[in-house]
Amino acid sequence: MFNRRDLFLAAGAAAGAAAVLKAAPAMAEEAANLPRREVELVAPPLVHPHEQATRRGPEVVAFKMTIVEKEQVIDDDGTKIHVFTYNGSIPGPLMVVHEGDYLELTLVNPKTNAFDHNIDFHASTGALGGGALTHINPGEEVTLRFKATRAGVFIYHCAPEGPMIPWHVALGMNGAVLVLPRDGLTDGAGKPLKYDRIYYVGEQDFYVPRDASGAYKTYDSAADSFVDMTALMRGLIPTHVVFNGAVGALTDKNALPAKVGETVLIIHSSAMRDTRPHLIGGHGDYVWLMGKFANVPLRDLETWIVPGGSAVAALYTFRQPGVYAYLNHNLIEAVFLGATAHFRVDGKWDDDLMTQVRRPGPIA
Amino acid sequence: MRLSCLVIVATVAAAMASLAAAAVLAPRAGAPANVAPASVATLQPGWFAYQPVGDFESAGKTIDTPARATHLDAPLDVMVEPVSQAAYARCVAAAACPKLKAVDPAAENLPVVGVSWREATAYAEWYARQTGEDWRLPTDEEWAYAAAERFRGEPPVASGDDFARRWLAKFDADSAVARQAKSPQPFGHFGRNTRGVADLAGNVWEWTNSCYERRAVEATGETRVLTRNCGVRALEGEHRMFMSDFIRDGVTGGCSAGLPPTNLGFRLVHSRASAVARMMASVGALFAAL
Repeated sequence: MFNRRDLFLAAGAAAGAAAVLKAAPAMAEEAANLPRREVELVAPPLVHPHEQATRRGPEVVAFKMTIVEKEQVIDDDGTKIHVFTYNGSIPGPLMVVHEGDYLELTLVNPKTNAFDHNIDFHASTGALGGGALTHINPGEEVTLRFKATRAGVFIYHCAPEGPMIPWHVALGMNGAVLVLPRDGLTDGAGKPLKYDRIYYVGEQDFYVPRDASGAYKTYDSAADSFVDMTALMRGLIPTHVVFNGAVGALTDKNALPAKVGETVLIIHSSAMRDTRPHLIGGHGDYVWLMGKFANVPLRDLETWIVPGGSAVAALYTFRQPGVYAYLNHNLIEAVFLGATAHFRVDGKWDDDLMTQVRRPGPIA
Repeated sequence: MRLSCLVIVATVAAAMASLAAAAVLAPRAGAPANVAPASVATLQPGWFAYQPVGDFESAGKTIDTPARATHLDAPLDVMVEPVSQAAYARCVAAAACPKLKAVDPAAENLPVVGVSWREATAYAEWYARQTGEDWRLPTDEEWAYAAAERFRGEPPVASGDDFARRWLAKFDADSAVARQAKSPQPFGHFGRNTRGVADLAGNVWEWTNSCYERRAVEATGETRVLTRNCGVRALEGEHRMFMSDFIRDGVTGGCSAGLPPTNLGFRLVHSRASAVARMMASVGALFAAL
C-alpha cells in the first residue's frame, strides 16, 4: 500500500509519484481479503461518524444509497419542482474514507422511480468514474467498488447520457466523497490539523421555468418539465442558487451550530457552476484550494473558489461568538438567489479582537 | 401628535387592563363614485401598552425597548381591511399611483402587496383628495392601538451587556418564527381582532409613517431622540421591522440575517376630532354665525 506521505517521500515530483503508482498492486482480489466495514450515511449538512487519522490498514468501506425521485419545495414562496436525489437529499450524503481504502457503493433505483440513473465518482479511476458500470433502471440495483487512490474532496454526480447529464445534475443528483489522508490533515509542514465539527454544504443551481405572468410553473412530473427546463438551462442563468437543496436550508433555525474555540471543517461542493465561498466575520484558516490534500493548504483566506465540478475543504477556528453568514460572495446569488448559510456560534466575546469604541450617535 | 407618552409602567398588564376602547363598525357613506367605500372601524380613545419605535440605549448600553402606557386622544377611523389590489388599481388609473406588477384590477378582495412606503403614501394622498378626508398611513402607535392583542411589539431579548448574547438571543427569537407563505390571502383569512380590524399580523406587513429613531433613556426615565432617519419607516405585522421607504419586497430587500417581512402592504387611518373638540367647533361655528 501507499499513501500520501509515501508519495511525498518517493520524489516530490510527478515522475516519482507515477513510479510508486505503478508499483502498487493492481489485483482485484486484494479488496476481497481486506476488512469490510458498513457505514450508515446521514443527510447533509451532517456527516457520518469517522476517524480523522486512522491506525487501521486499508479496508473496504461499504455504503448504500437509494435514489429518490420526488417533489421538493426550493424557496420561501413554496416553489415546487420535481427533483432527483441520492438518498433523498440535495446534495447527496458525504461519504468519508481514507486514502488507500476501497469505497464500495450499492446504488438502488426503486421500481417506483421513473428514470434510469448512474453515478460518476470523480475520486475514482476508469469507466467514466464508474458511470459506465452503474447504469440502473427503475427496479434495479448495482454495486461498484473503487480504490480511493487520491486524498481530497471529490464530487460524484449522475451522468446518464446526452442532455440527461446536465438535467439530472441540475435536479439535484450530486454529492461528494471525502478521502482523508490515513494520518489525517496537516498544514503541509508536518503540523496535524484536526476539526471538532464537519459540515457539508452543497451548492445547487436550479432552473425553474416561468409562465407568461412571470410565476414559476409547476409540472405533473419531472418528464413534463424537461423541455422548458433544459431550454432555460441553455441560457446559463439559474433562477435559484441554494445551499443544501432549498433557500433557507442552512439559515435561521437551520443554522450550523459551533462554539468559540472549535475548529470546523467546511466541505463545499458545486457540481456545475464556479462559486466563491466567504465566511462573513471569519476566514479560511487553511483552505485546500482545489480540495486535494496532497497540496499544501493556503492560509488566512478571505474568500476561496470552488470550480464547478469540484469540492473544496476549508478549516476555520471560531474566535468570536455571534451569527456568521457563510455565503457565495457573488452577493447577488447569495441574497437574491439563495446561496446563504448561517453559523450560530456561542461563546465569550473577545474585546481585544474587536470593540465598538463609540456607539452610533449624533455627529459630535 | 394625537398620542401622548406618559410614564414608563412597571407592568404591561396594568396598562392592558385599562384598555377601554370599543370598535364601532361604520360603513362609510357619501364617498365619490370612483372610490369604493372602505369598511371602517372607529376606535375610541383609550390607554394601551406600547413600545415606541427605534433602538434604545441607556447609560451607553443597548437596552430592550421600554413599554409605556400610552393614550389615544381622539377617535380614530381605521380601514377594516388593508387597501385592495382593485383600490390601488383605481389610483393607478387616475395616474396618481405608480403602476405595479402584481396588481389585479379586479381583485377587490385581495390586499395590494409589493408596495413601498412611497407608493402607499401616494395612494393615501390620492384617497384623501377623493374623499375630502384626512386619510393617511397610521403612525406606529396608531397601528399598535388598532392591532390590540395582535400587536407583538419587541419582546425582551436578553439581559446584560454582552452584545453577542443579545445578538444570538434575537437571532434565536427570529428563527423560531415560522415563515409564512407569500400568496396574498382573501380579506378575512387571518380573522378580525377584538377591535374589529381584519387581517392584522397575517402575511402582509403594513407601512406606518413612523421614522426610525435612536433614543436614549435618561436616568430620570425621560426619553431623548438622538437621531432620526425618515428614509426608513417602521413596518408592523407579525413582528416590527424597519425598512427603507423605496423597498417593495422585504424578503430580497433585507439583510443576510434577520426575519424578513413576507409581503409589504398598507391600510389607512383618519383621525376624528374628539367629542370635546367637535363640541368646541360647533360652539365656535355658532358664535361665528351670530
